Amino acid sequence: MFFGLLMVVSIGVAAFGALLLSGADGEEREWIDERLEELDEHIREDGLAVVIDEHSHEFGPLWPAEEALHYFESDEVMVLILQGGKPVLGFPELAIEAGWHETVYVAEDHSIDPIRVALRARRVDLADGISIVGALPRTSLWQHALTRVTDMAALLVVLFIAGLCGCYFVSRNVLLRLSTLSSAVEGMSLGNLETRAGVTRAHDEFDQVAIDMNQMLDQIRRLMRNLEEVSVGAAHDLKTPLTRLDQRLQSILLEVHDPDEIQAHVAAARDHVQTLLTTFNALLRLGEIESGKLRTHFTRHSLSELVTDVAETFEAVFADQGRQLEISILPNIEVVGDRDLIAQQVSNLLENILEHTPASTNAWIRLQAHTLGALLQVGDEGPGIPMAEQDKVFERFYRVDKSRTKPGNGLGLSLVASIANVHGAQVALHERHPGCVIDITFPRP
Amino acid sequence: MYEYFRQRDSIIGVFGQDFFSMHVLIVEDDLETGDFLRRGLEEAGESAEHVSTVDEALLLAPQQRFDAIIFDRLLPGMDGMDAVRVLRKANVVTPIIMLTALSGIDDRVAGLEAGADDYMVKPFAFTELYARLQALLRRQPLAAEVTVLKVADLALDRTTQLVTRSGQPVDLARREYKILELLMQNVGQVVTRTMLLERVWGYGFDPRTSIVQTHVSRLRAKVDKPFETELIRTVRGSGYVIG
Repeated sequence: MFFGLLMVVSIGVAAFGALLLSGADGEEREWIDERLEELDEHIREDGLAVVIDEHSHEFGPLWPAEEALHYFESDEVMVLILQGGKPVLGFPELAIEAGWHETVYVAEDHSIDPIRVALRARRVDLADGISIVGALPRTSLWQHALTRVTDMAALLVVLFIAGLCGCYFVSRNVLLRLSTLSSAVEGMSLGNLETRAGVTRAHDEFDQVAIDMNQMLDQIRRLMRNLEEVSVGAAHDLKTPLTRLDQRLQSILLEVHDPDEIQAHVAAARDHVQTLLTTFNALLRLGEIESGKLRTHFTRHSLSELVTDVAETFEAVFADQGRQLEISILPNIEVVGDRDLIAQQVSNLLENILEHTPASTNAWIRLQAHTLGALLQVGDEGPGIPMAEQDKVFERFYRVDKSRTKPGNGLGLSLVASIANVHGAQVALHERHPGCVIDITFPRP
Repeated sequence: MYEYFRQRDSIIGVFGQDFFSMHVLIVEDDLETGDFLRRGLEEAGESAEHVSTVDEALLLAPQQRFDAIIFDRLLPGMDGMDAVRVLRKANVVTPIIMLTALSGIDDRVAGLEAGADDYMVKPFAFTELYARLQALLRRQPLAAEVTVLKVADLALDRTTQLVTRSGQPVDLARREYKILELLMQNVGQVVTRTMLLERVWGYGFDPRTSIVQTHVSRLRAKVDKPFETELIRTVRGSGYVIG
């Protein structure tokens, strides 16, 4: 990655350099021509004598090789004026034929080291046998171009390094923030349920992620605690019928010669198996509901008719037990959902009353239109659910009856809550004196 | 179960063994379940063949010598539902009961759409399966157009929805009427509680309370109690039978 980037940058620099150099060749000629025109004009306006006088050096009109060194360094165009083929001003070493030439400046002066410099030069013949020569050292042009290239490259390098530094600091910050998040998750996965990600005061995206993650961790902790409680409840509820089943089987072995006794034991054993299967079916049903796949079967139908149907079915059961079920249902209330699930929900609520309130406790069921949708209320006149238990009754296998001797598997209200959840309905439990009321608010279809 | 078969034998006594005896193909890869079904059927005086692969089933089923097929949904190699679809395409019209461990409503609907006639979730009581098998076979010759159902002096008119016994009108609630109609469509055959829940109430779930029992006893109070002979009888641990 890094080398790839470096290659792209160096290719870019090389291409830019080549462009500069190719441009430099043309520039070089322009500069020479400009200087020659200037000189030509000067001569024509002021006369050769004045020009020679003005440009004369302390050494005289002809400049020494030593002076040429300055020109090489400064990129100034070197000049020579010839009159009748003889140098009259400038560097005598520049004497060339008319036209463009690539020549070599050679000076073997005693005062300096020998100089050999490649030049690009042009001689232009003017009137009166006057010729002017302009020249630029090719090396200096190359150097010039190279300097520009190097400047460019240096700039790029500086930018590159600055970028790298920037990246380093930004990514260091990101990595630091990420590592606090990941250490929180790691702590959780190692079993420390209390680990939470730190939230800074910056209120940036990382903090948002940390907040979301902490909520998720809270939820996981809650679920894990719940799972522990559920496992214990499930184990207990499944163990009881299994124990009884085993006792029946042992009894059969003991009373193997009495067919009537065996019949009784087998019938009882099958009841215990049925209890187990009912619990398992309820668990599977819960799983099925919570997977949400039943949502695809949702249809719009009359909640009024559905609730009336279930309520009237149960009214007979209540009556048989010497109880009263008061039904008050407003017509034409609709809902979007699964008929079978809602029927099961209502029947679970009513069964809950039949199972958990004292004999001859009356109950009521109401359905009315509500600002937010449909409000279904099921209430009884029994002793109610203690405040401390209210949050827990919807949890799986939770039993208000700690001895677990009453019928039921602690899944009835869990199913009610799950079915409400899958329909986007709200469940609320109200303490009334006496009795308990469960509200289910279905959203408007 | 004993009691049930005793009752059934008395019915067979009237019509003769061959009339009722059915030949069932059991397609079930679990040998214990397959054996349980075969024994149950033989015990009840029927005959059964048990195969454990889809290939064998597809080979045997089109021979048309079976009165019914019990098809396990989860078989190795092929979904039992696809196999049923194949059989139906091949014009095999034998009634099929599909068995499954999947209890989803989706699965039930999908099973029936594939061409199965009934759908049962494991685990199930043998009596339940047997009752359904009989209902399936009985349903075949009974035309849907039969308008007046009669059992002894009890008559149910499906067009006017009027029920009379010994000429006296019997006033039934909507559900009681539907229960009686279902029982009378299956004269002499057990209609189980689950069948009643499915067909009278349309519920696919299993209520913990005895709603079926409550409503059947109300029906009996109106249809049987004022008269000398009881027509509706309870088959313990299973369901109800009329006639």
